[in-house]
Amino acid sequence: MEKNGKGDELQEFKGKNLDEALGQAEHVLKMPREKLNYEIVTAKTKLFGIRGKEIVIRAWPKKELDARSVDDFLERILPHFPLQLTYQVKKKNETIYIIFNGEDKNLLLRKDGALLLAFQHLLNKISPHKVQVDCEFYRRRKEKRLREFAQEVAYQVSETGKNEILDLMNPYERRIVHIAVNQVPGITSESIGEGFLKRVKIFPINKADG
Amino acid sequence: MKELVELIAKSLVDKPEKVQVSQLEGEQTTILELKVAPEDLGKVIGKQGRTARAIRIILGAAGMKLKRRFNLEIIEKG
Repeated sequence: MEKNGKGDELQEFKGKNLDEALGQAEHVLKMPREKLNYEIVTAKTKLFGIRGKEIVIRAWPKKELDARSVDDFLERILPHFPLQLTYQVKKKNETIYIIFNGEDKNLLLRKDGALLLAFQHLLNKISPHKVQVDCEFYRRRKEKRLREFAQEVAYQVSETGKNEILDLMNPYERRIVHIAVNQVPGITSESIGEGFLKRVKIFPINKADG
Repeated sequence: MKELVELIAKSLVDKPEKVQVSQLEGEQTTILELKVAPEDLGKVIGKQGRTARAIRIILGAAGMKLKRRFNLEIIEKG
């Protein structure tokens, strides 16, 4: 976890509810909550019995996203790249989003978005923040397709009772599959293999050990 | 295309001044030889060759548009 990047102890704040805890954090850190990131440590502390509900959060200032390195890189290389591409930079939730457009944007999406993902890989190497690239809702469409496919296989497993193993996928794709599969009653999934790309096994819960 | 590879490589390495790209023109293929400082070799190749693959995909797309093949060769500077 590199939540605040410096490895400092994150400060904790308490309240009867989230609103109150955030108010406390605002007060101590002297920042409006829009500029804070937080995570919930405990929702209902049962330890204190009668005192009942209490919420503990950890809060820390949001990092100012610096998209300069990403912007500079694209400004410099695109004039030397024969494809006609334009781009837009957006910042949200500590991630820099690059949305491509332009005459040749369709070439970005060929071969399952290979070029788009190649740019994403390089941009992540040069940027201190996480970068996601997108074009023509490629990501949303792909996620939807993957989710539907995973559930289709899960329902098939639930009918036949036979395990299914999917093709190699990256962590982002596997996450989508796991979430989709686990929505199907009685079916679960796990990743198998080593390395960046792994396969996902889809199987009935009662056969988890077999 | 030489400039493109040079710019990409320079933004990935610690020693951009050591980046050199030479371009060898064949009949249908252009070979781009990328030389970097030995300690930067890993930066342009990446884990499991992912960075090198990304650069090759970018060159491939450029080649498709220009109707020419571009081959990237990464060479360790001796």
